Amino acid sequence: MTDLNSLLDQVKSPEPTESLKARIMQQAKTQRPIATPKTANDNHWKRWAAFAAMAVILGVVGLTTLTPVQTSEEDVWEEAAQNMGYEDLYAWVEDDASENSSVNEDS
Amino acid sequence: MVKTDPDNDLLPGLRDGDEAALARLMDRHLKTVTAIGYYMLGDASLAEDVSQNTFLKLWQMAPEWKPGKATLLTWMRRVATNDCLDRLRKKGPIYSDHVPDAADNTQTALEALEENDTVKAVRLALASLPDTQRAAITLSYYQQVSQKDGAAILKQSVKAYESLLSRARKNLQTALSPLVERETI
Repeated sequence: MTDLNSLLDQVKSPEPTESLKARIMQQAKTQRPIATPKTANDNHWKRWAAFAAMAVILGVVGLTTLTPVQTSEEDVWEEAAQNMGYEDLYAWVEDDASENSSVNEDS
Repeated sequence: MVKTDPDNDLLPGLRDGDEAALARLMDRHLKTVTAIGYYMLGDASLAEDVSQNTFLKLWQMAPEWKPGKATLLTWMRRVATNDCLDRLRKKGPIYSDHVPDAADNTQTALEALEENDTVKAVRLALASLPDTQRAAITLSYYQQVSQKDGAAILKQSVKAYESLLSRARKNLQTALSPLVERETI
């Protein structure tokens, strides 16, 4: 491989032109360093971002699955009546009760 | 283990936007960073564009630089290499026919002609390599970067980087076999 190395050595990168440094300095004057929240050579924030995203997802899933369903007492009785086969009787009593209450309110 | 950055002395100045610190950083590394562009793209003018982008990117990022991670030079090598790979993805290898003037003026015209032919052949062989293989040769051979750092720059495992380098050298050997044989005889 020495031969290959000696061949590779023949390709030399030219010196940068004199104007390059001046060009960069000129551009640097218009592009002052700016403060941003992340570090240029630090990628650890990505790991924390992943943790935060997981926490948000778990929170949303937890809220949707663990929130108790609001049921009224009336619904519970209606369901029990249906289970026992007395849904017609339950409907008649309930209708009658609601009619009575509306009559009382009118008087 | 915290890696000591030889450019740590310039960090306070760079963070504060001190242009003298940027100038000193360029005195140290302008040639090295420009050379990455030259070996990757084969064009001195584009290499200077890559170098300019790299230093300006560092200049803008300097206030957020965290010491103890990658060194400034390793970071700049990564930025320059990625810039070159992006340009190659968009345009393909550029290698121009222009061969820079040799520094040694004592050689004869025939020697110069032969050398120029050899240089052209090597440049063509480099240009024929897949981009990542050329990047591996640039970093390991021309920049003397360790395999660990080279692998980190190209975002590969050390084993994958070694394999890349080995394939690059094999391809170069094949492409330059007539020259190698002629030299051995």
